[in-house]
Amino acid sequence: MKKISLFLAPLFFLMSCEKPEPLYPKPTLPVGLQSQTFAMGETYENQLWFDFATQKTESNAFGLWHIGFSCDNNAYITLNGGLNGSTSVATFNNADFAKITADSLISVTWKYDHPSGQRDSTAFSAPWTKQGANWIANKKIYIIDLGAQIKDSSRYVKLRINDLIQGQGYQFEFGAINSTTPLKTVTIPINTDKNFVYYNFSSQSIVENEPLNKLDWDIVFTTYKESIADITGIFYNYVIRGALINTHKVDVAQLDNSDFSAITLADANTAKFTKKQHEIGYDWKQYDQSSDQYSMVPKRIYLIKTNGVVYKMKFVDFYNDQGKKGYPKLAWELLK
Amino acid sequence: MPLALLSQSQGDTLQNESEETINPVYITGTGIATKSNKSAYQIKVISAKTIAQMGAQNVGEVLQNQSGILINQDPILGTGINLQGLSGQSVKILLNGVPMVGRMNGNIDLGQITAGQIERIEIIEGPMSIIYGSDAIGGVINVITKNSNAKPFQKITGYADAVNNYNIDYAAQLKSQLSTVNNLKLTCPAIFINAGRQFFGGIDFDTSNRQFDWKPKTKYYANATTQWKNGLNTIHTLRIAGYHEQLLDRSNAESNLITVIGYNKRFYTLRGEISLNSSIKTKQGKHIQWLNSYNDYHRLSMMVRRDLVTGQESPANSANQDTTRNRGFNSRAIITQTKNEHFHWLYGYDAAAETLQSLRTGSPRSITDVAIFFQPEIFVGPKISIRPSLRAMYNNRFATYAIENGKLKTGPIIPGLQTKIAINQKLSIRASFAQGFRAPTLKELYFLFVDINHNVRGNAALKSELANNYIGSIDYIHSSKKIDLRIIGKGFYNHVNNQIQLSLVDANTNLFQYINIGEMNSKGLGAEITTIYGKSHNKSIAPRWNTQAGFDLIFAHSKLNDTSKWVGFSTIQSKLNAGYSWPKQGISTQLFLRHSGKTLNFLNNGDTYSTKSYSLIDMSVTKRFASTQSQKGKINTPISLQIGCKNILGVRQIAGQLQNATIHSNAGNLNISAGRSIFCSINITLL
Repeated sequence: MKKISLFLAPLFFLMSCEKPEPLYPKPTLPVGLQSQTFAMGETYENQLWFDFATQKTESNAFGLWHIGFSCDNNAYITLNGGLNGSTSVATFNNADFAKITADSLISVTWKYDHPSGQRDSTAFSAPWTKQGANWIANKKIYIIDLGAQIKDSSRYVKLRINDLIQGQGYQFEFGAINSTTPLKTVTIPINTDKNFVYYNFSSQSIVENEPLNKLDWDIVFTTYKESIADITGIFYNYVIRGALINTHKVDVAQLDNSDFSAITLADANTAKFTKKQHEIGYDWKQYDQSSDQYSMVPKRIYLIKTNGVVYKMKFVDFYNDQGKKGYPKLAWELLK
Repeated sequence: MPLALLSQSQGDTLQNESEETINPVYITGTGIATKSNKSAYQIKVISAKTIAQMGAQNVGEVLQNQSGILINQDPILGTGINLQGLSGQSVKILLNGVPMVGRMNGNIDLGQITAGQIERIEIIEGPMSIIYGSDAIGGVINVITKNSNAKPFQKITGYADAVNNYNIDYAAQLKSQLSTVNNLKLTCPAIFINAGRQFFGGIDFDTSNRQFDWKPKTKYYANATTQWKNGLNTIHTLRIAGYHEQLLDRSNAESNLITVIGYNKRFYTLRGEISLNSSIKTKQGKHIQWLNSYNDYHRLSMMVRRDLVTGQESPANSANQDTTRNRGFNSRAIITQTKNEHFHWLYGYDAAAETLQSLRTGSPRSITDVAIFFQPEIFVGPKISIRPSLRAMYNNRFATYAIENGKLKTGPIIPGLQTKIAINQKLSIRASFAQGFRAPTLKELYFLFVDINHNVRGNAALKSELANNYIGSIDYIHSSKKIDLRIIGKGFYNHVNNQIQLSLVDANTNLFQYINIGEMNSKGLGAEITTIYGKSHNKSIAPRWNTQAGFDLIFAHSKLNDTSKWVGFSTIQSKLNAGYSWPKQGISTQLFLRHSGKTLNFLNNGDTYSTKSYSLIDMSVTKRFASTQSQKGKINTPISLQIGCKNILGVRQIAGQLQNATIHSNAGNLNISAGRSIFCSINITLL
């Protein structure tokens, strides 16, 4: 018996085990706080278009379009930079379709749309000059690099823009990079309910990209291109994921080191609002290399001015309940 | 009488209480148990008794008390070392001569070798590449485990301390048994079994965050060793061992408006080992030590995301579920033969195959290395012995020399020369030159990590690192009725060429790649004085003093590439161990002092950070309650109780300071110890 008890005594040391972590107290939720998860998906395959007033969300697939033509009074072209890091445009001041070939690419400057979305900073430099009510083409050829993910010569599209005649819509001709004549001439009617009308060169078709009319959405979660400096200060063009605003109706201001619950309408009166479409952008999240995990930038709040009211908004998560990334979660509150 | 010596050395292992001696036996590099003063190498042996007196629970804790060895603690990767100024990737870690696999960031986690199984630790400084191949540039640490030839016993040990360690260890020596099955007489050989659990609940110095400074760990281990004779001249030793460790790494809490979340990452490490060590003595007088082994290392990490308010957990980003598998096969024979009084042969082969599979190296990669080596010992007169040595090898992944347009490739040919001059019975001098090499690891050859933020690639064209090492030492042994004294003085110089560095090779693409561009040298002086007083013919009752003092002065300098400057440091390391025992009363006490001077450490980008000096003091008292005989003649269970304090000065972290030409900034805190800790260990032995 004594022997057994002597054996049992050290078994005390086996009793120790990992203590369960005590639960944290539930944060007190501000009255009027609302939240929603936006399912972009683990590979960011979806775009989500959201309207604060109606809380309506529409979803569509990302990557259906290559270029878009503006539907407001300022004619300009946007490029879908989110397709690939190398998706870009080269401009030639020569309207002769046959003279621009693959050899012409040797010493060209490839350009990207500035992520702010402002029309004077786009990759397609000055396609037209405005004369009266019409926009007259500037006799240029553009080579579009659709991205390094395309391994054959169809990676490049040769494009010539024609005049934009009031009431007719946009017209352009395009073909393969070494073709002497255009393959196709396309006319896209302007749709004033939308910000842009879009074209896809692979399917050679006009495509729909904005599922909601421009008065019916405030922000879109999508993939786009941003110029980001590395630790040495050199800028690289990265395909990234984030939120862009609808510049047609939304103004946004970013507040740092701000306590969400303390922000009032008075703060909105002194905040500096902008119409840059990437003001919300991607940097509400931060990436920790060692854990390969994203976290939200603490105390980074956005003010959204839309339809005459102001919302305060914060990103609260980037993962869904199954731990999959690509599911940004927003919390917001109407300022009164 | 090599076999007899071997048996003797492994026979007096009962209850890890083998006596202290100034001239211990060792086996590393020879295959034959030899007294250390006879060795051509300068060797240091740490006995099981010393380990027990420290209250050390693993090899990492044992080596923290040794001068000349710098210990570094990584919260996730465990305990790494630096020997002779060379980092852990240049030190070979052996378990009974079997090379351990599973290096993370170059280091074997020495915390994963538990103390209960250890008979002694043999440390040889300087290259041992002639016999042990790659990684043995800085030296070899050979952990010798207990064998199965002691008297039968069963022992259970419980250990607890004030820094959340709760361990239990069971060890048993089972005697051989004869049984009869269907008229067949079967003999079950003697077997040594050791199994246990070590639980560490974690320590958090900064409770304002969720991260542990010392991460909780739970270890389970089991091993068995059996030995049987085949005829008079052959002994086989079979060892099977398994190890499982779970480590918990908690992220900081991330509070958002709605809830609070955190991440729990668990690292699982599994080790398996099987080895067969055959000691054969032939009629021609050859002694063959033939070792065959298989080592398996498996490390997984699983991360879960935890809602800290509700406690709900879900798997986190699948990219975080990393797994690393590293397997090694090793076969080595060391053949020794005494030709005549002037010439002893030592030769053999060493073959190793290793595979690695991990997230960043992709599909299983393998490397095979086959070598032959010669290390005869020539005696010039009665006082001088010379050991010229050579290792030639084939490696399937890299070549130093290519013959016939690359059809025949060989790895580096490694020479060495060791001399020992016995001035008289007490004084001897050793001088040696040896080359060492470190083969590029599979990680360095095949690493691939390319994404939006990284462009880090291995380099299949890497060559091995080559090192020249010079060591000189003087060894004085005095033994009288009252005192045993040993004084060792030594100096060394290492120069490593072709050092493999991760370097930025193309700024345009931000490409980092492993290339052979670095150079490194280290040099140092050291001394160790060991004394045992109060020696008596009747050791079991006479009080005894023992002391061991050591100091090492180490200079290490490194140059990342042709254009960069030499950057380095010098450091003083010292130790003092002192013990006193009253055998009659069954009491012994031991004091361990260790001072680590200011050092400099290197970051991957070539920057350095300095760490301040610190001292560790441990103390323990052990009382063995004498066994008594009962009326029936049975011996009652002897119990020993050990109480001590580790890290009396309470050193926990030291600040690291980043250094370059213009700025000094904080590089964060480095963990030294989990803090001052009273510990208690109960040891119950059933005979």
